[in-house]
Amino acid sequence: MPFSRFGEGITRGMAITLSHLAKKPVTLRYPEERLNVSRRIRGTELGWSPDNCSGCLLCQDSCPHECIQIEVSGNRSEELPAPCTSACPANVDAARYVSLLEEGKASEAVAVVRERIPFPVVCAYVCAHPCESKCTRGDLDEPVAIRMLKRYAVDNDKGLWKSNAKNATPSGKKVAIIGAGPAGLTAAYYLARKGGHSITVFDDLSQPGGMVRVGIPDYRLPKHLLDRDIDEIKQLGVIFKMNTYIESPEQLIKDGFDAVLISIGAHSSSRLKVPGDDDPRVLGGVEFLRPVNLGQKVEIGDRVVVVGGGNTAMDAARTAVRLGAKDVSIVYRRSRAEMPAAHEEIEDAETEGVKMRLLANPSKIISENKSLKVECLKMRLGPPDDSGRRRPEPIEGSEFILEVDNVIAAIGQKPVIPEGFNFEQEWGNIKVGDDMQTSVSGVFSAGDCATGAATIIEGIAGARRAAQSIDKYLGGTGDISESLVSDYNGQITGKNTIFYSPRQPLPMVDIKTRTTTFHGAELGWDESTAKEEASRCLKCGQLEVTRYRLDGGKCIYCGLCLEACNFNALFMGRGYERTTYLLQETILEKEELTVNKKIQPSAYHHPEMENNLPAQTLLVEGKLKA
Amino acid sequence: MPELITVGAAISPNLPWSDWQFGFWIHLLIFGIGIISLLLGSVIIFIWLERRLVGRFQRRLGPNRAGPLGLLQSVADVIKILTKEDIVPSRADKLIFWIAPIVAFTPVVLMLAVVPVADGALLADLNIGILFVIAISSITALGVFMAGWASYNKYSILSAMRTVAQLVSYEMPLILSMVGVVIIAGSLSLNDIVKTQTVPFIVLQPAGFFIFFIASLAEINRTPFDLLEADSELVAGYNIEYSGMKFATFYLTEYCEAIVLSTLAATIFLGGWQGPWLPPIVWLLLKIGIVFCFIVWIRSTLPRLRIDQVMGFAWKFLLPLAILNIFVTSIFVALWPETPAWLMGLTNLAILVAYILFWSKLFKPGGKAVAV
Amino acid sequence: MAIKTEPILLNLGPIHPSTHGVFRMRALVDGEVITDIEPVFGYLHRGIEKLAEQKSYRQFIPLTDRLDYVASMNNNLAYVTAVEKLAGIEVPERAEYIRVIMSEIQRIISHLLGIGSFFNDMGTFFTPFFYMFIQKEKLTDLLEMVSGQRLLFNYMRFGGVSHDLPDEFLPALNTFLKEMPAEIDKYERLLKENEIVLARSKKVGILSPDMAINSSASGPVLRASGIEWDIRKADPYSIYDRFDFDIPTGTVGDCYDRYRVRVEELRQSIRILEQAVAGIPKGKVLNPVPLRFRPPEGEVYSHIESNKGELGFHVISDGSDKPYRLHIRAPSLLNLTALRKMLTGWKIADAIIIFGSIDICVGEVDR
Repeated sequence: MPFSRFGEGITRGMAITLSHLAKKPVTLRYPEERLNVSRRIRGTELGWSPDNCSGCLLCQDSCPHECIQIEVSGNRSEELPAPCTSACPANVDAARYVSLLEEGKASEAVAVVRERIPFPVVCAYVCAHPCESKCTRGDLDEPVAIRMLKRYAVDNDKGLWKSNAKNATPSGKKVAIIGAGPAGLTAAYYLARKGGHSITVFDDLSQPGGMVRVGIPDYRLPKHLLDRDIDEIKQLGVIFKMNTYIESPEQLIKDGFDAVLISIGAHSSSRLKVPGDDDPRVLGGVEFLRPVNLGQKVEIGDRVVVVGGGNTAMDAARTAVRLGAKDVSIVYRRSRAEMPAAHEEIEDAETEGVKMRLLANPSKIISENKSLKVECLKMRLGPPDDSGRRRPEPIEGSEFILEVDNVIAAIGQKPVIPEGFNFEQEWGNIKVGDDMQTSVSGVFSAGDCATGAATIIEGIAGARRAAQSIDKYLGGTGDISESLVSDYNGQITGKNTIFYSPRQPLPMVDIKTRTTTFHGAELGWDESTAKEEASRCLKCGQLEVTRYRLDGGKCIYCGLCLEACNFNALFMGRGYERTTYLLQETILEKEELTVNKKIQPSAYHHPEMENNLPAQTLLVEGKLKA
Repeated sequence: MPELITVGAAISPNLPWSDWQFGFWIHLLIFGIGIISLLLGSVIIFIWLERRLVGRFQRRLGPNRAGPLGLLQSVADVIKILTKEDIVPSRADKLIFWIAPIVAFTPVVLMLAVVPVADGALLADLNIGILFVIAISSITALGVFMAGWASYNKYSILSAMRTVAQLVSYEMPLILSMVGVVIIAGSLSLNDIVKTQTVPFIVLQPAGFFIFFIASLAEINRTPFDLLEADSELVAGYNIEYSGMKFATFYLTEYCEAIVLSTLAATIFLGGWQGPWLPPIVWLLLKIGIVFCFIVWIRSTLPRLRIDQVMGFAWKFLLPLAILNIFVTSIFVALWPETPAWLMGLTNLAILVAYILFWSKLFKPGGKAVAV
Repeated sequence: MAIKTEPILLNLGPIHPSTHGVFRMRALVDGEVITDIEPVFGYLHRGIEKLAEQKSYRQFIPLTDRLDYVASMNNNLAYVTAVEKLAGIEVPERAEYIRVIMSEIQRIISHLLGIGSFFNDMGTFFTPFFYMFIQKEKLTDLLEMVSGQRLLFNYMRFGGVSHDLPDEFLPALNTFLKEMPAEIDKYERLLKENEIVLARSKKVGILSPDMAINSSASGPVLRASGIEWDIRKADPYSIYDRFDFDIPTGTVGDCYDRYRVRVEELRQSIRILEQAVAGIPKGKVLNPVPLRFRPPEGEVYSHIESNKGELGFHVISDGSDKPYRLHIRAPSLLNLTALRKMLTGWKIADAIIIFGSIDICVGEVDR
């Protein structure tokens, strides 16, 4: 850089320093002045609240320096609901029966399930298991296979719960239930058993079970297992009037019923609402599945497209494969991560040869003599909508054509409410209040027809609430809770470290059987596998935390433990200056306090460690000489 | 002892005790105590001033905890440093190690003996005042070198080598820059020089002041010539092995030097104690403060030069300029003694500017590695 | 008669004000001139690569903070992207933007510190350092807002970042971006054309382009030698291909060029930040990954343009929850490769500023 004015740079620099002389100094006079920029703090005041701690040990496991140690033992005195239990709409105590299964007590486990739902077998085979998605073990590696454990339990059930079950005395009240689906039968079960009412169930299908019978294919739930659960209800003296179509619930009340529960389900598929969807070769999902499940002969072409990404779509696609379709594909407008179907259902469908055409949506169906032409638009994901899922946006000019024999629209179901049902409706469903009562007094509603198409367990949960309300309406207590494992006081064995064991694989029958017949696709577990899987449970919320130890000398305040904690039991404060490099220890067992077992933070203070220390350590040299 | 009075120090007749019995001894006592206490007291204030000022230049507060505005910070530092352990390296040259701080500190105090705080008010009105200052100030370099040598440390010896090279080089322009003033004043006595300054000599001799100031920065090892301390290179330089009171003495020396050279600059170029309204001593202190603040300002802005650049700057830039300055000044004084002050000043300034412009053509930034 | 002289061995470091940590140079000094130099490191060796084999993938994230401890976010980013590549984890859009913002903030912080300490090595009494520190503190406040810590942030996670930005973050960042260019101009006026700076750093410690490539230098050190190589452009990671910015390069490869390249990179980082702040979408910031997740067997090398150069992580997985082997390509270490050639023949004072202009962080050199 050529320059000829020596001193110019220096002068300019000195002008800059001089200009800073007048500026306000930025020095912060701590502690009179403090910087409060952040609400997010990872300071040194690391605290722990014993009330919230579930003893799941995730914090201990995620600490990079092993400075947190938690000791747990025995049953917790004050129950903290486990996440799996609270995730279940019917609040089935999953944590408890998994613990029982670890000891191999299958009958007791079924009794625990029975305390909340009358369909343990159905749920063991086809439940959508919201519990597993909330499982704490899922945060660590993979969730405990709660549904498969339940299946092991019902496969090995010896009927222990019956010995503890107490039936109520007859009340003399009559209740009519329209629809013999899971919701209707659940209400029938509880009203009959706990309320002592006499129940009549009407259904226009030939056999009870509702959507579970006609919507779920045999390979997922063999029909004789459904009958096992229904037989228990039949034994309570519930009268089933099949092939009966009810015109109006008011008529039933006039006929002498004291209350009516409407649980007619959602048995009509939504239409595609694209040009050409009125072709007879365009089928609805449930309309396609119903005759198959009732054992009727169904013809289907070689090339099938299923529209939708839910469980019904998967069922329809897999059923089509089993009926002999050569080329089955699923068209879904979002990406795979947004599919509402259960994760393993999607995988199973792909294994069986179903193709996924993601980010595509049919825009037109052209009927030709031999085949159907489905014109689809490619989609892309836009910004997230209110539900948090990203909204699909069509890409202009990206049409492509699929040539198929049949289109199955499985994009949702809605209830068909008969003309004679004069109730207020909402979004096409029957409007109910918090007590599941419709706008007509004495008429209640539960299940899909009240909530819109949902899962079995949600239907059962709604029916439980309806049963309580009906019982109260009929003058009962409304109490349908029960304890079927009266001698349950087994000690839960706590572990103080998490051992890694992978989620046990799901045994499946061979692929040829799966794609050609309707035999059950999944196989059950044997006892050792089930025990192994049950032992993966972290037993969060069931254990008494007896000791919590935090080594402040080792903690680096990385905050990983706080992020791992699902229960808000750990917290950090803004006490940067209050660092104490000391062991912080909380002992909650009173007997422990009397014994002086103070543990030092450093290995050097462990007398037994001294022999293992390297020879050049000054400390040890001194010791050796002495 | 009339001989001593005439040879050593003449008491000015302005002072009240000039005609008392034992007036000479009383004079020595008063000024001896006065100079030392003023120097030590002002060091404490000036250290505080420097730290506050550097802080403000850097948008900090500086010391603000000990006492009001942090005024007691230096006191606290002194107390701390005096209670520290006095460490002597085992392979150090013990005697020299002990003597070095004293050798470095003493001449600095002595220099103030010839600086007037008012008309005639000085310890010794030597008629060779400036010569005395120059002679005495060189001794400090010896103390620093002794310290660097005796410490038996590679950093301190490097620092000592740099010191000797640098101080010896900068003596030259420092002395020559004062010669111009002496020529105009016609006296070597500082009291006379101050009294001659009806107009401060900085106006008459801007080039002289420029050289004096830069050379004195080098003499007192201030940025950009703080090579012998060079905290980023030589850690602490010559005093690396010193601690406790001995280190404090070096630290004291450094600041005393800065104050003394500010005093000289104020006395020789800025009119000393002269000034309206205020008492002479206040004027002097004010001028010292201004010069010192300027030094602090430079310290807080500039980086440090390399040793060869420092030496080159002295010999290639300052020395020719100083000689040129003497030459031009002599011509004015000898040939046209009646030249008005403004003309003399302007000519001097023009020479300075022309010289800098000329020299910056020759300036080449950077350096070249030595082939090894 | 020639005077008999002998060189002395001078230990620069490990405890020395300008070794930026505990680095040591054994210098053979002939007077003031360095005739030979041997870099000695390992004083800060903590065995981080070996520690990684004992910790689960997630537990290792806080340890990456401690590599180049003035730029924890970049280390987080490099490690997290390597593991994401290995396991095929998707990152939400917003998280990618947050990562770019954090990475560029860290680049500014690191460069401000690098330039400031370079001038300190040159002998300015902390003035540029403090001016830069004032701005650096504002950014540190921003990062504290986000992560709750001021130095070791531990902010990135596999599949995104640990928390979303707080509401007040983006306005505060915008204020900073508005005032920063004027501040940079001020630094420039302070020392850019200062004669002493020019005299000290021009043509000092030249690293020729050939030597820079042969010694696998990267980052500002390489770019100062005139080679336009920036991984953000050469092999774009995250979403850097969406931003518009230039690669500043030097011409000579001396200390002054290295300082100039850093200052220009400050301006480019501000440009990237402005674009990122304007374009940041809404949405989630984390695709949750299990705490002890197990990537498939295999190995991956992933690199990012860290503030000091190419920071790469080589992760080998054996299918368990811990890396089988993890190697860190530390830019600071490799930038020192040519140190001996660069220092030989210069004076001690030059050696200090040449070393300072490379801008190493010993945490990364020794690991």
